[in-house]
Amino acid sequence: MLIFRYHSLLGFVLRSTNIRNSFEIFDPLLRISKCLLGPDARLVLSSEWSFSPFTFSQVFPELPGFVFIGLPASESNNALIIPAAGHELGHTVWQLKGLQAKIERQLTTLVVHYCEKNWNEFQACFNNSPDKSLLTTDMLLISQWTPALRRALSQSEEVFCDFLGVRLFGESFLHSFEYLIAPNVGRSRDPYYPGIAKRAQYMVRCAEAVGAHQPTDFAKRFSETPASLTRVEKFLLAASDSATEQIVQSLIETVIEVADNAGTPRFDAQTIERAFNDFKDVLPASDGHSLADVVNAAWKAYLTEDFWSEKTVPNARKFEVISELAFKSIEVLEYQTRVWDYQKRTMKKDVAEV
Amino acid sequence: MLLKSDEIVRALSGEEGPFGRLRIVPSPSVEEIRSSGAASVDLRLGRWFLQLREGRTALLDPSKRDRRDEESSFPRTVFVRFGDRFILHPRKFILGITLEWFKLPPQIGGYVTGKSSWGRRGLVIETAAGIHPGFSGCLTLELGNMGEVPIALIPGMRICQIFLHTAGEGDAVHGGQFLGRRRPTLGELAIDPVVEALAENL
Repeated sequence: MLIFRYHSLLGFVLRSTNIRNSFEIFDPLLRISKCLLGPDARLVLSSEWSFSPFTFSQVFPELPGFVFIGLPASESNNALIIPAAGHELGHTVWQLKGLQAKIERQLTTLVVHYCEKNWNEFQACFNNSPDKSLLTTDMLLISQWTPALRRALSQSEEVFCDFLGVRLFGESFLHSFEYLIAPNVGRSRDPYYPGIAKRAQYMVRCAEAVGAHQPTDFAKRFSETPASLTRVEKFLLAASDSATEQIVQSLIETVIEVADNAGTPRFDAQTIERAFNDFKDVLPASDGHSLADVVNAAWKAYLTEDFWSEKTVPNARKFEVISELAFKSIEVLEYQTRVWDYQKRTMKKDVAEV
Repeated sequence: MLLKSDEIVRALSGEEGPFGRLRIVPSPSVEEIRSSGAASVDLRLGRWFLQLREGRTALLDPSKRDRRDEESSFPRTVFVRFGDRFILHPRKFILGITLEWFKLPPQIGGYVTGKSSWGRRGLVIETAAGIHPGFSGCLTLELGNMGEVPIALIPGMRICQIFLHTAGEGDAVHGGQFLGRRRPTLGELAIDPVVEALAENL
C-alpha cells in the first residue's frame, strides 16, 4: 500500500539521477526555489517521459518544502526548454503559499455573477432553477455551478504558473512555451486549462507588465480545435473562462509581488546582449549573468539566422553548440556565485576577528 | 615561441598586441599569473567524467571500419557536484574535462600538461595535448592513476596547466569534432587507409 502511494515519486527520484539530465541547472533553480519558498526549500530535478513538463501537484506532507520539477526526458540536453521549469515551480509556489484559498472567494463571486448574468441559459441548461437569488444558498444550484469554479481555479493556477515563468525568464519563457506546446497541431481544448490563444494573450500582458520583450504576433500563433461539448459543458466552460479572464490582472500583480518580495533575479536586457555577443564568439557568458539572461541569449542566438558562419560552427551543430554554451554559462554562474559567496563570508569573518 | 606570463596577461586582457585576444571562462586570476611569473596558466577540473568500462569490449581494433557499436557500449558518463569527489583508484583511467572553456585566437596554439606535484603522486594527465589555434570549448583530459594509492578528483581543483605559443600566419583552425563541447568525448578513430592497404592479401 505504501509502495503504491509512492511508486510514482520513487520513479521520479530515480530518474533524477539519470545522467541524461543537465545537472548544471540544478543550482540556479534551487536558488530561485529558496528565494520563493524560503531557505529550507529543497529541489528534486528530474526528467519525465509520459507527461512533460511535469510537477507533482500534491505536496507530500512527509516531505515539506520539497519542489519536484520534471523536464522532458527527450529534451534533457536542450537548454532552450529551461524556462518551462518556471511554470512547474509555479505549481509548488501556488500550493505552498496557499494562493488558491486566496482567490477562491473572488472566483466564486465571478462564477455566480456569470450565472446571474446568463440566467436564461443557466435555466435552460439545468432546467430546475426557480430563483437566481438562491444561487449561493441552494445546495442543488451550488452543485450545478461548482464544476465551473473548479475549472476556473485550475485555469487560474495554470495562468499564475505561466506568469511566474514570464516573470522569471522573460521572453524566453514565451519561446519555450511555443516550442513545447507546438501550436496548431489540432489538439482539442482541455477545460482545466485556459484556451491556448487566450493563454498566450495573458502571457503577453504579463510580459508587458514585467518589461519583457514579446515575439511578434505571439498570441496569433496559437489556435486549437474547439472541443465538442454539450450545452451544459459549454455553459460551465464559458463561466470558468469569464471568471479566469477577470482575475488575470490580479494574478499578474500577485506574481510580481511574490517574485519581487522574494528578491528573485530579474532578466536584464544589457546582460542578455553581452551573453549573446559571447555566444557569437563561441564563448560561454562570463559576466554577471543570471539563469534568465543565459536562456534569453540562447533563444536569441537560436532564432538568429546565420548566427555563425559555416566555418566557425557548422549549421548542423548550431543547436547543440548553443545548448553547450548555455549549460556551460550556467555552470560558470554557479562557480562564480559559490566563490563570491565564500569570499564574502571569509571577509566578514576576517573583519569580525579584527 | 612560448608565451611568457606578461604576454599571457596581455593576451587575456585583450590589450593591443601581436597575438589577438585569448579568452578563458571562468577567467583565471591575472594577478596570480603575473605574480607567479610562470609561462603557463593553471586549469581546474570540471564536473563531467567519462569512464571506460571493463568487460564490455573485448578488443578495440583500429582495422575495423565500423567501431560505433563496440565504442558506444562501454563509456559511462559521471557527473560530480561541486563539493563531492570522484575516487580514481590505482591503475584506473578516466576522461575528465577542464572547468575552463577556451577560445584561442588565430595566432595562438597551446598544449596541456599535468602538474608535476600531481604527477609525482601518480596522477598522470595526457602529456602534450595540442590545442589548435582558433579552438573553442573545454579540453578533454586523460587522467590515469599510475600510483599506489587512490586519488580524490575534486571538481574545481587545479589539475593541469596550459602552455601557450604563437602560431604562424594563416587562418585559424575552426570547427572540428571537439569544438564547442562541455563534456569529455572519446572522439572518433579515423580509418587509416594505409592500415587497410597493408592488410590486403595479394
